[in-house]
Amino acid sequence: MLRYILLRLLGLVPVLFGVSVLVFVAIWVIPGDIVDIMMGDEVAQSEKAMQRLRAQLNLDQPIWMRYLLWVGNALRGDLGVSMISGEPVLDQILERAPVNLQLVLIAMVFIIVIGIPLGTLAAYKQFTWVDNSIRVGAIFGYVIPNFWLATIAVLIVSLYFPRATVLDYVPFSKDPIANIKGLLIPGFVLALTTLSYIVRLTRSTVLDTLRLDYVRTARAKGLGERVVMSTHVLKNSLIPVVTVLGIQVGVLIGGLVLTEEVFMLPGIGRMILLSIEARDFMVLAGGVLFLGVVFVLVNLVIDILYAFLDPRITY
Amino acid sequence: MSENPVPPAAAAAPAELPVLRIRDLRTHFFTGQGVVKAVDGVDLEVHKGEVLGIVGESGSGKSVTALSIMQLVASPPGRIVSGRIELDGLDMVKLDAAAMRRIRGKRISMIFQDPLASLNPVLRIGFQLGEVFRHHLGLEKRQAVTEAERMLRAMDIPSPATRVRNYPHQLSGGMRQRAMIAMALSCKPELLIADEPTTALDVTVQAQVLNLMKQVCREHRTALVLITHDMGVIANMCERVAVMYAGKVVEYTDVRTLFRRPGHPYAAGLLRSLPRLGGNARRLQSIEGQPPRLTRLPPGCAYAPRCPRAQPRCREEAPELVRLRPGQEVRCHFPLEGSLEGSLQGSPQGPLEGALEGSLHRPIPAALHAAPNAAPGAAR
Repeated sequence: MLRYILLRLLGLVPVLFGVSVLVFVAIWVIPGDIVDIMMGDEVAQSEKAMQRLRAQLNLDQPIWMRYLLWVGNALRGDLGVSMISGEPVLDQILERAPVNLQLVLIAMVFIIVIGIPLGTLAAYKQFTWVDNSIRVGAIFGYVIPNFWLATIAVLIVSLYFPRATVLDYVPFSKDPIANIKGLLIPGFVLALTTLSYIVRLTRSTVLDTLRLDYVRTARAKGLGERVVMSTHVLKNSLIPVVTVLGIQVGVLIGGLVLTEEVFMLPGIGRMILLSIEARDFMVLAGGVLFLGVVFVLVNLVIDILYAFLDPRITY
Repeated sequence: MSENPVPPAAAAAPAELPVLRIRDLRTHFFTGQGVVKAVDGVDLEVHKGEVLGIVGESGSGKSVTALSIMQLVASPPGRIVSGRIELDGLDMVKLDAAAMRRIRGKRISMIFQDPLASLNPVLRIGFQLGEVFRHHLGLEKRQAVTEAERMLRAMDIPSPATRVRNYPHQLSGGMRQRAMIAMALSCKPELLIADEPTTALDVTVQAQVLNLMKQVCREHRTALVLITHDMGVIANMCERVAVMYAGKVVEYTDVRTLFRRPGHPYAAGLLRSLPRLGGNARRLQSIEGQPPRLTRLPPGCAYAPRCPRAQPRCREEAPELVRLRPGQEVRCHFPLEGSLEGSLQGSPQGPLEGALEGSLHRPIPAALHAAPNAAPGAAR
């Protein structure tokens, strides 16, 4: 087992290298001169100022050198400073990361606590009205766009529950309960697409498992349906679900940008959006790299979990 | 035929109440393409310590009969439409789900065809065997695993203490099926149903597994229903045989009579399609055509379209199961009267004994013949 984990960790090296290259290329190889864009029209475009900025951003270096400098600094925990505020990028990220962590965790709890039981129930009651309603509900949940639901949620809460605090973010350190309460609705909005997907996926994997021979064996032993479900069906059905959950973390992270914007939450998603608007490329690069690394690490955890769920995985 | 017109042959056996008595069992599947009469009027009896073989092609209804006894027919679409399945006189068709759960795994057990697929891949062997003890005997988890280990040892599985901690994929095929047998026999059931227990195993392992089953059933006088399409297995394991075709028993007799003087043309066809050693190495005989589609059964005898002896009457009127000789019932208007070779028109087969021995001349039966009565470490 330890060997398996170590091998997996070793496998992270090329993946993280790829992530960093992608982020670097996507952000820095933008057509046009970044310094031009950054300085804009208003600033007096003195040749000297531009030269200084170029040197400061290492833009006078060849591209591979720029990449190495950026990655080298990142490895030492230095993601540069904001071009607007001059604040270190890493500080900004660490300040905002708890909001994201909370949001994603709340969304995950919704997905697991609602999605998996609903999917199992639908499979168990296949072709009954219970199953049909769950399936139709899941389709709606899947196709409703995030931003629309977020807007409607804000609208409804503000109109009908004026005393609810939907757009006022309270830091966890100040009032944990108010903080979590305030994140429930954004968390649900963030979760809905993945949640619906997990409902349908769980339903189909449970149905597949129910048809298998060992489920028949379990029944032939005289076990009750509840025991058959919980010990024999569910663990096997969850193997594909867990895999998909890991990948869906990426979808959740993508959804963060939008959800945070609509609910005005001070998370990394909003930071990234603001940095794009302000063309603060250092912050943008740092934020995207951070999310990419988090995604890779989550999938590492999923891989390890997978080995616990399925003893046939060799390590 | 709600009342069986003919007393079943086994009724001639001792007056003791049979362990299993099936009366006019009908299990149908209600599908989009119509009603599939997978089992349609089956009568069977198994006595204590007896081995009943059920033989037939795929789709003949033998597996559905077994699942019906266990009340494990997938529903929907399947349903036991009518009939009685009595365990020591208790009609199980009428039992509710909870009562049936107390019988399954305790009084009746079942062994399935593919032991790898029949064991849960993500649970340890000890846990899966232990479940039976926990569920039926109320043992604690630790005790149950200890009992599971004891059962594995009784099945001659080497190093059972290690094996209980293994997952199914870490065991060999034969060992898995032994584990399944151990699981099935944990509560010393009165009836064991084995649905093609050796089909998925290597030929060399088949003999060991069959040997083990025969031995443990004999020790506990467990009644055994053995479902197979292998006539060699039938010849060596069974006392009585039911030949099934299209959801019905077409011949019900003892194994000697079946091999010497089969009454039903289909049974004779099955015997003729056995490969034989000795005699002319002629082309292997087979039964022409395919089993009928169960949604569209012909009005007369279901075998008539493939039967070389079919007469116009066969296509119009469905035959009943009637007594041909004492202890032999046949569902045919024109049953074969003579011995098997007499019925083999123009075929150059050797004497019947050759046929029987030919089928025996393979590792399984040979090993079974040599089966020692008490292998070391046998089931206790």
